[in-house]
Amino acid sequence: MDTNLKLESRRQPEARGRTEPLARHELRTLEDTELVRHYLNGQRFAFTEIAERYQDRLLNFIYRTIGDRDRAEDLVQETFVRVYRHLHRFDPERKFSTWIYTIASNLAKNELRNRARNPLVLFNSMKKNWEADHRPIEFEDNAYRPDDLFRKRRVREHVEAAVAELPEHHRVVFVLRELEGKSYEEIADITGSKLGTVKSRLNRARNGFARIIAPMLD
Amino acid sequence: MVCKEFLEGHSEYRDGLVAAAEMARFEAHMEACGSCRRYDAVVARGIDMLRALPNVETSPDFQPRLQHRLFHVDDAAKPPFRARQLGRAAAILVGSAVLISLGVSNRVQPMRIEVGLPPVNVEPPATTVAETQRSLFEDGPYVPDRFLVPFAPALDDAGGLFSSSYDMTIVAGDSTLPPVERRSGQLDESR
Repeated sequence: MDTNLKLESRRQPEARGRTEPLARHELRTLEDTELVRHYLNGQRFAFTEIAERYQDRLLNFIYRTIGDRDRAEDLVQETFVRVYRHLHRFDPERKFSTWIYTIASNLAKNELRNRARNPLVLFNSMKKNWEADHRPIEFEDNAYRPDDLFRKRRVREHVEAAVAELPEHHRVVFVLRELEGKSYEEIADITGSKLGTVKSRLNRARNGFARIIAPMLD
Repeated sequence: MVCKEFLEGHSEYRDGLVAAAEMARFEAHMEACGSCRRYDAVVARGIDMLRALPNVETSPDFQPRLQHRLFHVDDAAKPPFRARQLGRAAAILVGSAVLISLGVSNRVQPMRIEVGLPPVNVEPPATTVAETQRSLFEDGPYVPDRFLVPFAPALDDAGGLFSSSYDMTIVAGDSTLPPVERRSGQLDESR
């Protein structure tokens, strides 16, 4: 059976025939929620458009969160499979991007949790998270200025390493804010945290990031 | 404003989420404090560098792989192979039980088969059976002189239970009639 035919067969029967079919280029101009509606009304390419719209954004988000590109791509695939399965349950009153990022964020968190099953890793992770939450915020004026020919290249590596070094729940908030441009409220929705927690974690994540990156910037 | 307050509220200041008056306080503190000024600069530069990092892109076969996975989503929703096997085995068992019960009920109520048998030629007795029976009734109740007792359970010599049919012949005085065998069906008295 053709894939597209099979995808079409999953349409919601009660929703069929409510919208006029649109061409691919017309689908590209639609808002996410409209795309969802068209897909549920039988336009199979609407889902392809959703996937194309989000695949790279989600890949970067998950990659920055877990630090493994190949695994990140697997998790993006899994995200779309879950979206595909549960799209009929999506509440159009909500923002679609928040919903899909919530799924991706949960998968990334599960991945990190699975890695942390090693007791030693788990202990170090808990210790790191506790310290990051409870250490007083401070910033040292580090005047260290290495004169290194490879400084620029190393700075780039250092930036990536600095993000990876942040505690897990700070990193998710930091990436969502700085790389994905999400608002505090959206981050709270995606991570299932309170607004105050998001503000606190973001401030601490920025503080930790600055502490790690500062020596390379001088 | 002290450095601790500045650092704790820096995120909201950076994201423009503080009131105008608060904003002025933050800026005034940065004017006066080199460490906090530097902190603000490091955060800004670090985040600029982070945003300048090349984005990773999905591999070229991402969409075909995704379509392939979506194609099998419905298949994955079906019960696993083992469960399907068990279901099939259960169906076979139920079917077998039904067939067996039907067979048993047929044995309890055997089918009646009518078979056309060729006529049996027997020598006519000296007197017809009817006349003989009538003559017997004149002297008293009719007692057949020979019985076939079917399936009479009994104990054999060794004390075991057996079941068989046997003939029992009754000698009725000086009757000259041949023994009459009583079986199912009727004798043709016209012969």
